[in-house]
Amino acid sequence: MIRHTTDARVSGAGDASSATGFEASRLHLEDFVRGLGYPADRVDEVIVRLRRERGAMSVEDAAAHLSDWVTSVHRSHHGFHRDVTIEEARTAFVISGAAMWSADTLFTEPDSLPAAHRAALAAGSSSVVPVERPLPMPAQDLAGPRRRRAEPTIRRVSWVPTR
Amino acid sequence: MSGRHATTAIAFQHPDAPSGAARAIVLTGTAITTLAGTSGAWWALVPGGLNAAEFAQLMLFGVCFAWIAFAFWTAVVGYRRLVAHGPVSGLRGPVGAADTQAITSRVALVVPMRNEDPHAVFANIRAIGESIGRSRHPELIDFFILSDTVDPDIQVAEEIAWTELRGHLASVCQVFYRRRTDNTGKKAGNLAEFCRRWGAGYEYFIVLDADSLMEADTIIMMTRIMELNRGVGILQAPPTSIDGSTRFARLQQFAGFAYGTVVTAGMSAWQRGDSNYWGHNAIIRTAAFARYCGLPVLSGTGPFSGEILSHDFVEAALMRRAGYEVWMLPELAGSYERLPPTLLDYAQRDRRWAAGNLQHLRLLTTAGLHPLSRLHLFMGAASYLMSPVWLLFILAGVVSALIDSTSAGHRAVDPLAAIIVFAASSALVFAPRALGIIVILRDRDTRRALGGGGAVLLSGLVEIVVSAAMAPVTMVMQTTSLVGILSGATVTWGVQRRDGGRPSRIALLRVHAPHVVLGLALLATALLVPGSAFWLAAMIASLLAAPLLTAWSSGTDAPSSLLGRLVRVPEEVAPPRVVTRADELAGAQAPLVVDGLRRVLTDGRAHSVHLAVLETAATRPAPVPERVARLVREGAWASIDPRDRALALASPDFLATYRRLPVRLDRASHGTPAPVHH
Repeated sequence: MIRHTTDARVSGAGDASSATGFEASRLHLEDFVRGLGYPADRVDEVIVRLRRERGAMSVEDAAAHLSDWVTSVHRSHHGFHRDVTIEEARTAFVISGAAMWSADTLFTEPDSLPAAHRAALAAGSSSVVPVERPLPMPAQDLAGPRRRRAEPTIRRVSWVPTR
Repeated sequence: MSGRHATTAIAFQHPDAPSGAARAIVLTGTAITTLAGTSGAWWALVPGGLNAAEFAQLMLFGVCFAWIAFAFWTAVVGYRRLVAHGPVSGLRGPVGAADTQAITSRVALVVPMRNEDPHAVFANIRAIGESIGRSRHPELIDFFILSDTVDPDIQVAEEIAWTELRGHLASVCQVFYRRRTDNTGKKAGNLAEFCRRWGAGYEYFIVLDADSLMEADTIIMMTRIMELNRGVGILQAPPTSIDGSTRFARLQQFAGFAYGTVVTAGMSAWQRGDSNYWGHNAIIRTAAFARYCGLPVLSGTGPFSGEILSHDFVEAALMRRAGYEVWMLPELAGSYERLPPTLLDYAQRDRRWAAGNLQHLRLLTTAGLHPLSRLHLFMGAASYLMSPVWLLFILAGVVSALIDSTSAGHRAVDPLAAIIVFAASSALVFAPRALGIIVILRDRDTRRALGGGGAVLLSGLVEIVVSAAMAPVTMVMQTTSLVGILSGATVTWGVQRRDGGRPSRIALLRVHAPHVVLGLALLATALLVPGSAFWLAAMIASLLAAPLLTAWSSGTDAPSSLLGRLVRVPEEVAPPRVVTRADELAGAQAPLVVDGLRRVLTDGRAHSVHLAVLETAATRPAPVPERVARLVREGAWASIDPRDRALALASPDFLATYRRLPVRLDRASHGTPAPVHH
């Protein structure tokens, strides 16, 4: 039997649910920044910069900034690119490990990022594994005749009698 | 410094240089020595005529003696190679540092892992990656973490550690993370899956174990050698054991440094391109490996059937069968591994290896194998079969002593001949150790680094005493393992404990009960047959003291203590950069993931990366029971059992539905809640 659940996400707001006004907003923002992968000792620094430089006082503001910034990184890397959703931006930021680079990363002009960092952010979740380049790998027949290498060689291989 | 502890600047000779006499020395020397030793034993036993027990004793002695003679002559050849400081013959090598760095091939560093401690493993990978960052061609090298982890909490910890690692190595190289949803073929299957999916993208791949470390210079040098020698399929860099902190691990790593170096050099000298592969710290020609080294599943049931457990020897044999050479090059420094911390951990690993190596007996008749490949397969199995052979030899001796004791006035054994044979056997056993010590003493830098000639000699003595005391214990352990394997007891390819810790008293008594029982039985024999007491005394003492020996060897010594200053290896005195860095990273506080599901549902980073990893899995998730949803809603995390946690973590729909957001960020991405089964 299948049924639909109630949405528990809002009721599961965690510690912040009992906090008031500014405290709740701050806790939400901390949770958001930590969720990007920033180490605990760098969260305050990022929040200060978000508020000072971007006027981001809430999670929505910070998320919008993240989305805009990752979109601009994509544009810088790929040329034209559609707007990146917040979830896509967060995934790209998390998967690239960008939080490990510095607290300034999120506020850096995309063009001044190292090319490798831009590429990592632009790859997003598609970089978990690369595009497949398959090689067939058949199970060998242990009872059957020996398979001699067909590949050319640049020198004698003593064990192969035909060489 | 001596032998393989030298630099990676290796001299190479012309590739078609003659192989020399090393192979003839080892094979002929072993045959002659075995014949001489067995004749001596016959001479010792023959005065009273040979009864059935003595005949069995003589045959078993011949097998044991051949084994130690083979190791002796291998060590002699290795010693000759180490002191000659000659160039490596038979392989083309780079000419000068610039040529070494001139690699053009793409290389994948693959790290198969299953339920390991992610913090320690990723510390190793990062240290290797940073080393690669200092090389000239980091862009040619990618990491693949090939996870077969099934523990849901470790899965999440791996994913988080992976994103951090990617961040740290973003400017150096790519780090990919692939998780399989099944464990088909175990480690060999894991590597085969890599080849099947991405093999064409990399000319070579290097296999790293969870505790492997390699310097970038070594990786680059190995790649260059493979580029210059198209006929080489596998090149093994014998790993140096490092980072031991317990007495057991330190003694093992000293033995590996002092004696292992000599034996490895010997094996390399006489096996040359017909050598073997140890499963990690080796570079492999990807296309040849995929084409010729796919492992079949062995038909039937029982210990000699099923998936091939110890895949490395078999893959090396198949590579050789296809006409590619397999080289082991002890001159390659910068290749490291860690050892099990205690005798019990060692025995656990040994049991898994024994099951795999025994399976090789069935593969001896594989069509078209090179004779040395058959020898490698046989020797791998024989290294475990020697323990029961030795035990049977002792038991045959006890029985013949009992029989002789019933014949009054009967001289059963020629005492002079017996003493000569015993002395010769001891000399063969300890000669490789003596040669190893001589190699160290000849090298002024190494000798001084280890505290001077006296400290080196004393270290060698301590190692000999402890290893002699442990030998009967490991003999019984291996014998009981073999009995268990052959009787069909399940062999699990469990997780290796790498972090040390003293075993409990209960564990000691449980594991060592067979030793104590056998020790008491031999003690009774010695009391009944006084003439046998001299020959059995050392073994009785060792077996009865087995629990104490294990407990003692699991302990640690302060660096300033006597034992702390002995049995040192160069890597302890001057740790290589990659080792220091890995230790530093592993020593940092580990992020704690005690409940993977809770972490994924409450932590934005864990949620994002976990869903991204799930996208790469091809399998359809199983339905998540309704009770899990209820427990998540109630926040009763501790009530969700691990199996349910794993089911929930495998379901993207469930994870999207029950993600606990402080506020809704992107309404478009959260539509109708996912269906839940109950």
